[in-house]
Amino acid sequence: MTEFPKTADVVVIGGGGVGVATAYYLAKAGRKNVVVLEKNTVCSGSTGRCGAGIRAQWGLELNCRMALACLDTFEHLDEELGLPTGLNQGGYLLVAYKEKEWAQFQKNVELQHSLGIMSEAFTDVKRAQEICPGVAVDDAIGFTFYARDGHADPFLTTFAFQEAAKRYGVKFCKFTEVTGMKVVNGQVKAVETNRGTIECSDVINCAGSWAQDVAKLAGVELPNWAERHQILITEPVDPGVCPPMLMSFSGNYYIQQRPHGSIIAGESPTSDVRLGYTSNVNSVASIARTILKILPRAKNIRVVRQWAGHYDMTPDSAPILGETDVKHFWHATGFSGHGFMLAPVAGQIMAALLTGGKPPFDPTIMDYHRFERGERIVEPNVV
Amino acid sequence: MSCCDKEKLFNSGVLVEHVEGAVLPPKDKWEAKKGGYVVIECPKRIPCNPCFTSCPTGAVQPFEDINDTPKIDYAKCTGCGICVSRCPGLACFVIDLTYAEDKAVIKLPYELLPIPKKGQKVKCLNRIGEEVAEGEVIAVAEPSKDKTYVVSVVIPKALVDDIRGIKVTEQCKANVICRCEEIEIDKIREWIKRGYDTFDELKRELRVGMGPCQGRGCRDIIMREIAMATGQKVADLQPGTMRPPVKPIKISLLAEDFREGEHR
Repeated sequence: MTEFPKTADVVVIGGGGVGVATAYYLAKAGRKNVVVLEKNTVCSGSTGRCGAGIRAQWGLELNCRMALACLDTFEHLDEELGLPTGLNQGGYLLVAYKEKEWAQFQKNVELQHSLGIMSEAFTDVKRAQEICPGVAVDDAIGFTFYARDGHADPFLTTFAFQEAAKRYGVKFCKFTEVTGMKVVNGQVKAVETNRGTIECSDVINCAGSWAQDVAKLAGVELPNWAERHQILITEPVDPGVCPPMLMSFSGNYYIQQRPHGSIIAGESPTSDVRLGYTSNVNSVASIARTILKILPRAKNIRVVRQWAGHYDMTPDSAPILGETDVKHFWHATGFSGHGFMLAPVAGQIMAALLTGGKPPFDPTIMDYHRFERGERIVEPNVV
Repeated sequence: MSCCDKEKLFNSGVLVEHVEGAVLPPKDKWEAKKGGYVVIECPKRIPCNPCFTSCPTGAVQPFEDINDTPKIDYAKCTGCGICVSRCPGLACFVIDLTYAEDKAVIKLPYELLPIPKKGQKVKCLNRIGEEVAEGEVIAVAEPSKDKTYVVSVVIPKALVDDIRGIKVTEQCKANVICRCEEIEIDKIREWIKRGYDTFDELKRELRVGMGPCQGRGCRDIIMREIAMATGQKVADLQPGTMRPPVKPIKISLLAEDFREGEHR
């Protein structure tokens, strides 16, 4: 284990996709002595448990723009970081089963086109089967598809960010849990951990599902909560079983095949909202039943693992970015299930905010006080 | 034996002294017996008897209780080596002391790849796996046609009570630890060196333990590598997460298990 630092310029709390990317972009932008604190190991939380999708098909301009910027970043990330991220652009095939949903999809596509996201809307099941051979969606009424969407490997991506950040001098402290925060005259001064105290100039809370607890240590109240979602993965099989990310909001599923050959599939919980990593057989059975319905030819493929992870939810399912009432205490949390795909842009925004640069997006709308003011960033396109 | 903790060795399966079920043949007869005698090292009572059922001459005595340790009638043993290939615990050997003045031949079971070839030099290992001599392979047979080979190796006579294994060094370039994902030891060591010194971190980066066997084949080896690199005991390391369903299950079978309205 590395020697524990006594001082730092910036302390990033949380070694998930957002925390590690933020540390990388901060160090790249010139902040010296950045330290990442992770209470377990890097990628052991939501990022390492996620469905790995990256899409530009959103229903809100801000989300479309941010996701598009992420796609742009992901497409050049292997080169930039010097390690593979496992990017695989098989597109997202979104399936609508309800009239209202289909109407919304058509509106979304219009918006997406105006932003340069050349997605495709269609009702022909045959077209869907061209994109995803053997897909059984006769009961669907419409589809949208964007070929640049896809997925990357959350582990490889986060570790690639970590290795590149280390080259810029970022220190990573694993098994380091934040236990307190020293705030003097409304300004954060130090972070207390189970391994000692670190004096620092800035603190960024990227603790995902635990962001609310971390914020509390500095006296800041966040409205976040953790929602447990379950997922399964199969043994690797030949490619072509499910080339795109097959996803439906009303159908409550997402299914995709990794370049490695394994099929990942998950669903959203029906009512079970809580913190915890337990998984149960009825969930894996439910997901299996969905796969059987949507991709009948996958029936003999064997499931090798199931697990649970968290969505770090906010009341409007949009992230919280920016400084808090405690000076130099920042947030990049509340990604509500999309932290991995938005991590590059979140990191770029945070780096700009902390180095006086111009952020690629104006984050003021993502301020955490918006909920008190009664404002919401309402995204129609979420699972 | 170089390790002094006899009890610990015995508990880990190493024969530390000759006891019932693991005795050497009588010396005078053994030295004169062309083709050698069987040496079985099976000192613990377990329910297992293929040495007896496979012996074509009845040299391995009938078992009163299947848990008994084997007893040998040396007058009947021809040194054929059938039991060497049949013993599931790889505990049977045939040792021929008549090969040369200072050399003996050991027939031992071998189940790894690559299979050694006649004439090949191999490293000879003692009971705890240390290299103690070099030997020459003079025959390779597969008596039961079941991928358990019986390899005949010429060894120094002084070491007939030490050598019980071989290491085939030539040809063996890639040392694959995770067989599901084909990850080599060098790769694992490289990432441990970079600071990825928990099983879960290595799993995330290299996919070790993510294949159909779920780490049953590689986990222990990787844990030992981490222990060696970090100077910790294996028992003190985090074992890494195990996930259901443990054994791969078909999607169609899982789907049948769904219970409407129940908690998920």
